[in-house]
Amino acid sequence: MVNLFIVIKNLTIYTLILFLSIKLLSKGFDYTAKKLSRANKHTKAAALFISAIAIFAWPFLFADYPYILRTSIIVLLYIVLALSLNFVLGFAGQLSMGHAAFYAVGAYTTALLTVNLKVSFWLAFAASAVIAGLFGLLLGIPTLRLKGDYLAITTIGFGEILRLVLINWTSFTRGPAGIPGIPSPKLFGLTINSNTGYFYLILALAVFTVFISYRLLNSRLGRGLIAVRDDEIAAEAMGINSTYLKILAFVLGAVIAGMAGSFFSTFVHYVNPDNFNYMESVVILTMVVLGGVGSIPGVILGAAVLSILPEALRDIATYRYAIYGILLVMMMIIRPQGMIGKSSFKGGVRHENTKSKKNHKSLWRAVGS
Amino acid sequence: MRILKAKKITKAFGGLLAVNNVDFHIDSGEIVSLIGPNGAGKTTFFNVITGIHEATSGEVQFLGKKLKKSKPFEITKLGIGRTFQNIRLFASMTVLENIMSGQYCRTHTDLFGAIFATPKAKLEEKKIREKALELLDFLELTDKKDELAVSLPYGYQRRVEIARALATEPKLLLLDEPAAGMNTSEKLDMTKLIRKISEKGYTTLVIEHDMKLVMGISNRIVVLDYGNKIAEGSPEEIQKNPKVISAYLGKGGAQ
Repeated sequence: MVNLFIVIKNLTIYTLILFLSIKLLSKGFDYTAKKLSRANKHTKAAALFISAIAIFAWPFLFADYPYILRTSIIVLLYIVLALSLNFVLGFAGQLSMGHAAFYAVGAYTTALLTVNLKVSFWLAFAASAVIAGLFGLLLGIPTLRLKGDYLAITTIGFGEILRLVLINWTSFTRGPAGIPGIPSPKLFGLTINSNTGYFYLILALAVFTVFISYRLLNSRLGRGLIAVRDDEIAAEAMGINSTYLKILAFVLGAVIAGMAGSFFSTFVHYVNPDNFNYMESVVILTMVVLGGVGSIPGVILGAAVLSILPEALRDIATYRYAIYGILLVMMMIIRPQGMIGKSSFKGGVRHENTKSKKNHKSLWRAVGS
Repeated sequence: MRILKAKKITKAFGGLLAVNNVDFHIDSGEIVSLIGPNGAGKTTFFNVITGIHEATSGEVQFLGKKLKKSKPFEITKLGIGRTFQNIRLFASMTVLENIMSGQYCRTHTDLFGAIFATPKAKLEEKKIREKALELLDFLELTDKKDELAVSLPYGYQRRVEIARALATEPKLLLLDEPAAGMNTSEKLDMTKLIRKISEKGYTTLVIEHDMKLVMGISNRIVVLDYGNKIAEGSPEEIQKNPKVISAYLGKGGAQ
């Protein structure tokens, strides 16, 4: 009984803290988004330049703190993973809940190729991307005819099947024992085995992912995807082949998750099926939803917050998933569009001449619908 | 030029004849209205001629070619653009983006072109934007281009939808109840707008309940009732046609 009271007391405190921080942070994000979208080109370029330098200098600033550096690498890894899911969930609007499966395919492809066949990492990296993409295609063609909950269930099923295959096909994957001894990548004769090296490697992958996210979003295909997400019937009537675009987004998401998996296996030098369980898919999904479905800065922020949070919550680790749950419920009530919603930079804030209040309303209406 | 020709179209759902032996055609530059009481089979007929349903018997020719049952996106690509009775704009897009998305089926940039922004892709993107701006100008929406389309008043949303349909470069434009839910002044604007679109050379088929609008714009009116075509002709002829009057008002109305 006493224990129960303590748990309830603690959860209430955490709930209150989360409530207040979401409220405060929301104000902060809205303010920043407004400022940024009003800023002129030079200010934007300067802000981008300064943050780029800060990120590049990061490993040198924290060279003596391996803990911070390793956490940063994990943050970047999850940014890549969350952005890869964002192709499917954010752009095409398809709820995929087995994203960790593609991550696993990438990790195991690299592990098996480099350990068993002694293939170089870079070749294995490419193979991971291709094979994860093939899995995405194989799964996408039959399942993307399904909608909403049905798609979610089939993707959960796929993720679980893959994990069980990894566990039970012991002759191939060594089962629950996992595959140890995955070598570090070599580049121009140098072996990348320091945290700094890994940091730049995953940074390159993250930058690449952000880059293609933006390029895709602002292209004909991106508009087609958003159209499918907003209203599939109308999209089809505008001549948009929704099945093709959904599969494209699915495959692209799978390819990038595969690349992330490949990096993961070489970074920790060891893979086992437990790394890719259902909770992993849920965590990636939570990052996207929390940050803002379809919003690239939002997803990056969501991934960063949710991969730092477990570290910050070390002292209250038992409450970790409870806090995730409360956080999600709170977000859905207070700020359903995510920390930085996809429309934050659109419509309302672009107009300086018209009354901002009216525009704000329209923005909310758009988000609510 | 004959844009669309339907010969003896019948569509049955089980034992129910939703459309029964209907002939229909529309020529280049015409505005034709399809009217009829609720449940007359207008929507079914509309779906048959646009290839969403397959006719039980009869055939549809679009630009001289036989139209088979196809997916909606293929039909749009063939050259039939449409709007919806209940507005279906893309909610997270601005007005400009909504219209740009209409040009999807007329453009070709692939994933490679999009990611690496090849010169060809850039040129195409520029053309898409120019075309969209042109359409915005034509429909007098230029000052709204950066607003979220769904945040506009109802009348404007209709216009954005029409602009989006025009962006698909249709040979035949289908307007499904364009004046539904509009007030009198908005209806008047819509009448003017449909005329203006027709003057630009678009062939238009309108399904509409509002008689004032229908009579004001149509070159020709086709009336359906219980799946049968009961009348066809100019607005004046339709207004005097006893069959039409009795279909709308009951038998007593004709006397």
